[in-house]
Amino acid sequence: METHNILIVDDDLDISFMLKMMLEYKGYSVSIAERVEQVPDILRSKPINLVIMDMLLSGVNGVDVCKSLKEGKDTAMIPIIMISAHPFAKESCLEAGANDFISKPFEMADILSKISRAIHPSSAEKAKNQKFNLPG
Amino acid sequence: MPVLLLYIGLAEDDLLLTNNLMPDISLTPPPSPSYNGEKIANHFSFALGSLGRDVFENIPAALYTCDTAGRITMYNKAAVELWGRAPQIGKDLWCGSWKIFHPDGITLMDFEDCPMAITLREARPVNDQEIVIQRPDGSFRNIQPNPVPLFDEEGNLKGALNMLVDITDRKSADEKIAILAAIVRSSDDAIVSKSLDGVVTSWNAAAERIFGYKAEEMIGQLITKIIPENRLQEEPNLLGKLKNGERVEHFETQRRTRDGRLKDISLSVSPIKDKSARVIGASKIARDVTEQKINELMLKTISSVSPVGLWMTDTTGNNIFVNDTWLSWTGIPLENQKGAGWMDAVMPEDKAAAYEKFNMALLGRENYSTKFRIHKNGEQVRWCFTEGSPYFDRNGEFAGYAGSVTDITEMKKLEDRKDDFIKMASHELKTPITSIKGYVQLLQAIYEEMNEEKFKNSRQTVKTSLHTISKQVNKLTRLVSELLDLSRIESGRLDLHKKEFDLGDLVEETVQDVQLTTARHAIIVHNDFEGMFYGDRDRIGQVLTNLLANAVKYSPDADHIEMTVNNDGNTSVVKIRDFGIGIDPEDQPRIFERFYRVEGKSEQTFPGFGIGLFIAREIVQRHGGTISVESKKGNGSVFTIVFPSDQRRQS
Repeated sequence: METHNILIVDDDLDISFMLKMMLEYKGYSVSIAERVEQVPDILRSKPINLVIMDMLLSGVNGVDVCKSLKEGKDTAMIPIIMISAHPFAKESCLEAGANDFISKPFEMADILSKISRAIHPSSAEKAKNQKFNLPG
Repeated sequence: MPVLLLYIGLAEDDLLLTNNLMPDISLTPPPSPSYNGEKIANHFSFALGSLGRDVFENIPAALYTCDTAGRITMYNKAAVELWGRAPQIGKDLWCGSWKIFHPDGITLMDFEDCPMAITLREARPVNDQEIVIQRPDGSFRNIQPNPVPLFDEEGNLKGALNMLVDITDRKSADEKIAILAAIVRSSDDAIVSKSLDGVVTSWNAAAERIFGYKAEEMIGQLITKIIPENRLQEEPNLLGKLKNGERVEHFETQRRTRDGRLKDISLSVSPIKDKSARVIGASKIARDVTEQKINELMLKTISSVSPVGLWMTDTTGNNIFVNDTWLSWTGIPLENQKGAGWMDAVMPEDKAAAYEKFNMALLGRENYSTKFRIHKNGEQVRWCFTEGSPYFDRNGEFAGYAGSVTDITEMKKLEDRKDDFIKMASHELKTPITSIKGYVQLLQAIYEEMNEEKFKNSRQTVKTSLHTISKQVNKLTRLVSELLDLSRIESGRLDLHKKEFDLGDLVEETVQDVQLTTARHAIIVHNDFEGMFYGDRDRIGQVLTNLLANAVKYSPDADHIEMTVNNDGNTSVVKIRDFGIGIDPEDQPRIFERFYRVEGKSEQTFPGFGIGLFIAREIVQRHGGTISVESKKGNGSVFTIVFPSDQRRQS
């Protein structure tokens, strides 16, 4: 069975480790970035199938990071799920190109199904995603 | 030479006229033989001659004669005019009037009681009896009769001559004067007259009351007696105007009373003119405005020092008044505030709503309230809350709206900060809950699929989960108790349980606890505290924990924190130094306020409610101490707490 690599970007390590344990338990391979600066190195070091990113990162707005990843030639195709405790964050995250949004505190079942959907999109969603990501 | 013997009590002018026309009349009653009435009449005709007859007929005084029986023997034109009828010679008795009345004008008088009848009966002049006559056309005249007896050469009564003086006009003039006098007497305003050289000629009761001088003390005295020395120049100025026939109205000045006090008065001065329009004096009306002045001053003071803006409108909602407070807030001059001008101060985006709300209230005469922002010279300066109610005149008629404007800028700021706080607090509470919830679900997942093989592999995961859950629950507990403390402080119910304890021990304990939360920072303590400290051990511990936790939190790149504790005879001092991000000088006073959080570089945020230092300051102050900060942006901070050594005396 193919192992999917998931990158978690969150400055709250308690949450990152909790997600890592949970996702590893479910058979995913998980990398953790506490700071945004670590993200490019990790992306270079291995193929990443999904990014889960907190919206509020120390010193950087996660929404901006999401946008720049979606604008990057090599990273645009990587699905991104944003996480936030802010109730009105969903819209700005989706506007920035995020594939999905999870509000804190989250249900594990919910996050697992969203991860699965983001990594294995239905053909319709795939077409949509591809269209959405056409350059220009 | 014919001699007419007359003894007439005439008014001076009339007598003069008579004397001029008839220089030969003797006023001494001569002895007279008996004559009957007709003979007297004949004698009169004869004696007067044609010239005399003419004079009698045309003299502008009502004259008539009677014989001793009272029959009218002769009358002139003026008498007919006065009576409104011509009596029948030899038939009408005593008087040619249609009806005569006593001076009250109501009680009829018998003709035989009239003055002429008395003169004939008693052979003496009567000139002290006024009567009222009624003419056939119904009109009344007031008459002063002057009947005089006539004697013949032997001194016998031969009849009487009566001159009727119409005093109707004088009577009504007398009445008018009486009314005026009553008005002057009962006026609340001082009414004074004076000659052009400033000598007082009349002084009414109100003048006595206001100035304290009796009329007899003032009449004949110079008016300058009541003018204060520094106002003496007013008098020649006023007199100058008067001499030109000008009036002076509502001249605000002061006068000195008998007991030396100064009274604020409002003065109106009019020239008094004689018949030839020559100014011969002045009448002065002085209104005591002392009380009015005090009321005015009170209103003015209240209005201008009021911490709230005040306003009034007319019935159409146009502004007619704003106070100094509002003027200073808006910087718009008073003359530009009238009508709808005050609206210029309202921020453009708030105008429509403010206007609409007021008009709705105005239509229904309802109370009005709204919030808006105002600017001064284009810069937003205040949030305002205005309230107004309709007001009514003495007759209960709607007269306009009056109201106040309160500056709610600070309230708004606090409201905004409270909103931010609630958003931030919910975010802060969600973070540990997310963590706890996640680990619990992880544990559940492990538990549900547990078999011997998996359990062994999951041991470490379970251990980490339980540790993190415990840590996050503690964090939640701390956040919730901070909220509780905040609410206690705000309602004044933060209770302290003070007793003696070793501050050195508390410092060691606290440092150990905080050290457990950070692997990066070494907390270095210099503890020179000696003796015991009096206070609430748990609360002081809370303050130290808060300051140390802040030092850790706000120095993510530093590797140590310094803490010194010492005391001397007067004070106990705790200093905590970090080498972190520091605090801008302008933020330094605000970090002890509620809901204030320092932001790091690039709006980096730090978890927490932003009420830790507020609570810390409250606790320190409740121990009689002070808390302060020295800091430079990027160069770390030093927090210093100073307690009085024996702060039992302070608390």
